[in-house]
Amino acid sequence: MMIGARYFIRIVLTLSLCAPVSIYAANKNNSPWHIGILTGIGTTNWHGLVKSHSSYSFTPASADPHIRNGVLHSVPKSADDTGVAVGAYLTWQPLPRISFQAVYQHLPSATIQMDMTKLNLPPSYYRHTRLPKDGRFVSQTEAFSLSLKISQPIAHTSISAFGQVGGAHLYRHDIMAKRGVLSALFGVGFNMPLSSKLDGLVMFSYYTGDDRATVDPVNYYIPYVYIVNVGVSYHL
Amino acid sequence: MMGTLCAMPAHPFSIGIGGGIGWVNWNALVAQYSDTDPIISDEHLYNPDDGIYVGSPAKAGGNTYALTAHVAWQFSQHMSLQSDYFYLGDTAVQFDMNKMVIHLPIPQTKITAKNIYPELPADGRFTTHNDAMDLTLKFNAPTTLIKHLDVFTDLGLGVVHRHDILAHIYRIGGTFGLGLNYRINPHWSTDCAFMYFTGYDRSVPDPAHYFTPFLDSIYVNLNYHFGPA
Repeated sequence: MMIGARYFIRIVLTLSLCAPVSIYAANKNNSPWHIGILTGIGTTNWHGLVKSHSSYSFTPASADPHIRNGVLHSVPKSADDTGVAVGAYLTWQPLPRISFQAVYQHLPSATIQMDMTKLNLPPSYYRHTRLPKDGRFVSQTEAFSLSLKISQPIAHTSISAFGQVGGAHLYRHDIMAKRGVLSALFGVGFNMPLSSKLDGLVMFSYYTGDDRATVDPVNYYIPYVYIVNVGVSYHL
Repeated sequence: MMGTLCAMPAHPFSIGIGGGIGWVNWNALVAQYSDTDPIISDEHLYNPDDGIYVGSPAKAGGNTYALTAHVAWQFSQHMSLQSDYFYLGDTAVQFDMNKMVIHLPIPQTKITAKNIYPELPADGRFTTHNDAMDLTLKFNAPTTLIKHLDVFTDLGLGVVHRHDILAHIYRIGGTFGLGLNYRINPHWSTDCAFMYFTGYDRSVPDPAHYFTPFLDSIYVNLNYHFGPA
């Protein structure tokens, strides 16, 4: 019984996880270069900078409500950071399971709301000199990435799963700051041929950002990005 | 080609141990002066930038050693499930106990790190311990450059554990890796890899109570694959 179960599991796994024909083999006459466009839904995770609640009890001096609210002097009170991304990508597949992918994405815009009622000191004191009177601004982020993709065909389809790791340059631009950082990119997804010349792509990606403990972290924050993309590419 | 793709691994289960360099990354919490605008002094009483030192450490984290162990199940020729454990050496956290906030509406109110973190010792220094576990999906592919050398990526969920006088936290996040695997013989292989665990930060007056460091590690593993000779 145990041996039978073992062989059954082996057969199921063999059928479900090993493709009889790889995409590479099916499309071996195509160029290893693909060019594509993509869109997606994701978050730039600005809410990670929004004032949060502390459950710790403070000593009498620091329990002063001015101090408890002090964090609102420098961080947003709310952030709307989820939206749609658009972009383009170029893939070079030199080997059946290994490819390199360059992606540009215009990431979702984030609307940041500072709490101006808490700024009972001159705004310059907190380095937010460029804030409009209502304390609201829109932040844009662009991502340029280059990643290594390792793929594995699945089942009896020509769909393949992949993992990807790479580097990215995230560039944030808004009225408060224009700055970029080098970051890491990690992702997982699926590739599928749509026709002899077109491929589809579904992937989840995570870009590391940058955060700094200063009196004005809003001026330094670079988003940590989580995004789900769909795309279509053409074999050159 | 089909035979290669569809063959089940002869040695699907493996265990491994290893070690390397770990980096306990507290950078997002370590206090920094802002260079956005010229520093504005508050009637020469104190530098407003000093206020950040009340809630955030002056120094924290850094390089240390990392010990790893894992179990893996290779369920197809190029994919496996792997669970890793990382033990990182202790690192130090140092608060500057001399920096303070003098609140303008009540100038006599001076707040130091000791007010925010009563648990801190007089010198503001303590050690923090971290370890982490993960469950990842691993994709590997032959490099073709060197026989028996594969390149792989790891993606999955990890739990980072922080333990010190300010906090005892378990935090779930993403974990990602990249590495090379060399098959020495059917039973033994070795990895050289990089692993990354996401951390966590919170915008509160006492962020050190909540902060979970980002962990990075570069390590070398020796793996034993169970199965027939």
